Amino acid sequence: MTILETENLTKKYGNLVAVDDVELSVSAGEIRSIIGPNGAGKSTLFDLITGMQPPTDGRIRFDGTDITGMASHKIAQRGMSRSFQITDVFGGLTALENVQVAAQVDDSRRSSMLRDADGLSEVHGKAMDVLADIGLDDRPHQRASDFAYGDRRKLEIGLAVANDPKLLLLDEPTAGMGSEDTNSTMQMVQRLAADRDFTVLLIEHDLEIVMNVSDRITVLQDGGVIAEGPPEAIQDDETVQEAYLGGVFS
Amino acid sequence: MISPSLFVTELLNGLTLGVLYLLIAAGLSVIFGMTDIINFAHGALYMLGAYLGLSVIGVTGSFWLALLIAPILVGVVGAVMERLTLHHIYDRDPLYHIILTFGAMLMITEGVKYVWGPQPQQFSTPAILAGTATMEMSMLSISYPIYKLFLIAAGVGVALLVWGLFKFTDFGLIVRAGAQNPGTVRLLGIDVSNYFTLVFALGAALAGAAGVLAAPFLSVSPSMGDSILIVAFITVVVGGLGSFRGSVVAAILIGLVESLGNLLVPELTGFSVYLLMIAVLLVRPQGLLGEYKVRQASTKVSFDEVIPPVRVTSKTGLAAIAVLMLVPLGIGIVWSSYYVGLLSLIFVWALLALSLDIVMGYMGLLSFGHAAFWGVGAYVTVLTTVHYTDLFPVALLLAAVTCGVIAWGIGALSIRLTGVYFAMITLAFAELFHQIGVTWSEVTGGANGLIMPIPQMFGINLGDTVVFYYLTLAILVGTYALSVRILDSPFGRVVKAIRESERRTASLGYDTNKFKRRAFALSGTIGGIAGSLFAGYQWFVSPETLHWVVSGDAVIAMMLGGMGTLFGPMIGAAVFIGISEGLSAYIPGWRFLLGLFLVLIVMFAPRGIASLPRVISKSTGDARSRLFGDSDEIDIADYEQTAAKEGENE
Amino acid sequence: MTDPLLSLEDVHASYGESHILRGVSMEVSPGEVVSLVGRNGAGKTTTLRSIVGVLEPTRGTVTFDGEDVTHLPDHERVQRGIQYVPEDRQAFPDLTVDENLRMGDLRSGGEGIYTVDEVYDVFPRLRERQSQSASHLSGGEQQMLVIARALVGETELLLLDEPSEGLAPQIVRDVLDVIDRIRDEGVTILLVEQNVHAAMETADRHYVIDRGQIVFEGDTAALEGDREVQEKHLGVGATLDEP
Repeated sequence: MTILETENLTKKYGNLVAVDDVELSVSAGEIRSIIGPNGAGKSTLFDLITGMQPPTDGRIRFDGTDITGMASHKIAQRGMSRSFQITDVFGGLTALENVQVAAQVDDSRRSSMLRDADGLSEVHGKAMDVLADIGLDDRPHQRASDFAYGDRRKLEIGLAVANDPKLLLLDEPTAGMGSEDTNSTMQMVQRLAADRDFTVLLIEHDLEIVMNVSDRITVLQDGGVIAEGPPEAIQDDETVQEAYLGGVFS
Repeated sequence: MISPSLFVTELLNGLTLGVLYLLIAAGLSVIFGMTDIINFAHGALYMLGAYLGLSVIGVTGSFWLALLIAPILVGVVGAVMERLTLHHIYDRDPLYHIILTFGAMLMITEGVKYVWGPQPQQFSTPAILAGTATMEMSMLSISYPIYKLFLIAAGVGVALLVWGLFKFTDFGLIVRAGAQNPGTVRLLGIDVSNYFTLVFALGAALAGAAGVLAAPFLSVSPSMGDSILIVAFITVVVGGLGSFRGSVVAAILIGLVESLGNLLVPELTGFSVYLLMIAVLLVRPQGLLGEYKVRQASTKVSFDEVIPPVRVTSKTGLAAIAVLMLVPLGIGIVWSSYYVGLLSLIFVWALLALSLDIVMGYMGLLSFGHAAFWGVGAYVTVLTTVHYTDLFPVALLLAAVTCGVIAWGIGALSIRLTGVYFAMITLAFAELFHQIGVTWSEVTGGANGLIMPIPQMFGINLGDTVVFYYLTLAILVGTYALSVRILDSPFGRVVKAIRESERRTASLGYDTNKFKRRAFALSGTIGGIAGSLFAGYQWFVSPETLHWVVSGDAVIAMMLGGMGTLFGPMIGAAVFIGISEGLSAYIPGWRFLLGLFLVLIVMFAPRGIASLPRVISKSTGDARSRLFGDSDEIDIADYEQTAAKEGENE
Repeated sequence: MTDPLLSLEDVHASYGESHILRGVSMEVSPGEVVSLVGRNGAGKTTTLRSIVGVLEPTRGTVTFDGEDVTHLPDHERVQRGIQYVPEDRQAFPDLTVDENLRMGDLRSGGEGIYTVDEVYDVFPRLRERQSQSASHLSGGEQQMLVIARALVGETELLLLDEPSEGLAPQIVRDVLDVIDRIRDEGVTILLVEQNVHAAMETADRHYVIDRGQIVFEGDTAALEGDREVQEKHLGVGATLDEP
């Protein structure tokens, strides 16, 4: 089953074509990586899919519905979630509160003014589960901004999985991490995806990670798709090699 | 039928006003363009210009020298102000900058009153420009003051001069480049931070020049800057923030709308400008020529530490309530009933400061328009008890609901515009209500206000000092407890999340605008309750309650106590009322001290009294290094921004 | 042997807690063209930022022209002759081409390698567009503009961050020709590249950086011969665990 599909998706800024006629088809349950050299349009592609920017042209279908032009919070309500390259957690809230805000989004009492937020037991339980999954359950009442960088990155992912997504878009989840944190974080993502049964769309520049975790890889260059396939095929692909090593001079 | 002569005369009047607005708005835009700061002291600098002009004429007798020297002096004041304060805190959230300039405004205004006296003064038109010019043509017969024609010419001249300065000089080049990207300017070997100061001086000088030019045809008084500041805000909102061309178009448009509007639809005198603003907000919220971009930075208020509200049921809370409940027993023994009455007033102000904290401290939107709720709450209460019922609680309820609805409406119109925009627009909306209060005299009693019967319910005299004391105390405690509960509710969590990061909250699936509207409505409701009780306190209401000073005082009380803590603003209100009652009798210029206090708080203790124990416990050396240290230092958030960019780039 | 113009000794740098450079040491001698090659996120840009002072190293020293500049603010380093051309082409979009160039000229007082007039001879295309605003230029032209802007300033050392990135092949050629011309003027250049072939074509000596550390140093022949460095640290080839 296809969970996400784009049809000649295009984004232009003036003369610059940031995303150029991208046709993407992601199957439910897979881990799909998007790689490509600088300025290939990876982050812009994420912004288009999540509705944070309107496309110039093309359609996006998610879980059977056309979501082109839909407001980003509506898309999120349909089960699409994302993490950000720049850590964007609620710094002044505790780890638990962070995840609770995300977990209560599907609850009918999410905008109640009179209940105690901590009294929503399912939400609380769900949030504690998430914290356990990302390994922060030992410090649920610590302010997010007081966590170390690596832990904040984990919380960033925790926020994104706490609202039970069907599709999770991860934008460089290991940006700025050392190799140890990098490995443990990626293992965590793989485990979460398997346990919680969601599809992953991953932007990552560490090729070692990409080759190890992906089911399929899509390679972007200058906004367009230049190759797609399983990791082995991508590694052997001449075009991809050239894109990385600089084909102009070969 | 309007005669063509009258029409042309009004057209010229509109142009005169437009040119004046242009000069003010241009200064405001110039400063904002480079520093991202909306200068609330801009009107005060304009007023200062007029007074300095007055003095220069007094000494030299020359209007022309005044037109030259006064703006320079105002520019120096602007530069000093920037260098001493803003220069050190550019890395803070922009809302602090706004509050700081508000404090500077109070200081300048009071300083002027101290030096020149509070009375309006005459500024004589220079002889060469006195008199009128007449023109006779077939259909037209106009006689128009020469000075106003000169003002149009001079204003256009100054505007051209500024344009030329930006277009043709190295200074202008660097400033334009700096407004686009200060970091790159540094990478070309230029210490851009000095240009921030120069730009501030230039903007201030423009305001000063406008002040001197305006003085001969408007009367010179310490409050002359207020109305012009609001029009200047409306100008940049209508024209589009950051667009110089937009400001020019909007300034002339507003001048014409004001004068021709008065002529064509006299009923709307005083309102046409606001209607124009609302229309623009509805149709083109980004302004006529502006490109509206949500700047992440201008929307965010973040705190170094969370100071949780004191719970009503905690020991401190219960003890405080118990002590306050015992206070009236001391009447006649320890203190007079005057002090009990004063405490009631403090409770009422505490409610207003609390309501402001909900939007600012918890949601991160700076409202400079809470006078609207205070005043409307008071008017609704008075009108209800005069005309419909003598049950005070009914009036109170009605006031709360009305203000909630009004807040929701203002929110629906402007909440999409975050940060600095929101501060300006709420100020303008409150001013609109003030205007209504003054002009709609059949209902509001105009400037004289309305007297209300002594509040009562079911035969209980609420006007009694002690009864009213307990009433306000009960409402305050109840509202506070409810607010604590609401901010801990699922709704409150989302509101706090929006303060921390609206983008992230939306990406989790929340319609953030809906939450912001509701929180603002909640705040307005509480503000309305405060206003209603204020009417009950003084048995009287006047347009004073709608004046922007009330909004400013609420911000001061909140900042004094510590925003984002709920209990802090209440303490702040107590200190504020205490200071004003204590000082106003002895020190005529006490508001100067208030402004100074506000500036110092923003600089050194941005979380106010609530954080004082922590601030004091930190070593003084630490505080020094924070203030006088390297102002270019980037905070962690910036680092991460760059870190991510790095990832993007590499 | 002449003293190096620039030397980095055990430079560490981080953004907040995100540790990017983990002890970078390198030297550039006067008149040399040196490249710093590495993949996405390896720390190339961060190295340049530490040299020019946008970022202050947390450890280590940066020495320029015999002077320790580790803790000087960026604008003062630029005044000493370090010119930085960032990768994201920081032309001032609302200024004209001519005004952009004047910005570069302001602090050099005519002491730059080129005067504004001369720089137009090097980049004739910019002369054609001198009164257009920079935002109307194509990507390649903007790149030319930013390089030109650096050259009218006083330049001892030119730091170029991926000058060929995102440009069409023909434009890349033009940019490389320009770099050749500049080097003939005797300007020392440190070039950051992701494109190893471009680096080998342009520079005499190379550093390869991976995960914040220098993993290779040598001349073009050495780099060309070292398939392992190329594959392991630059390419996509050997990133799966080799048997």
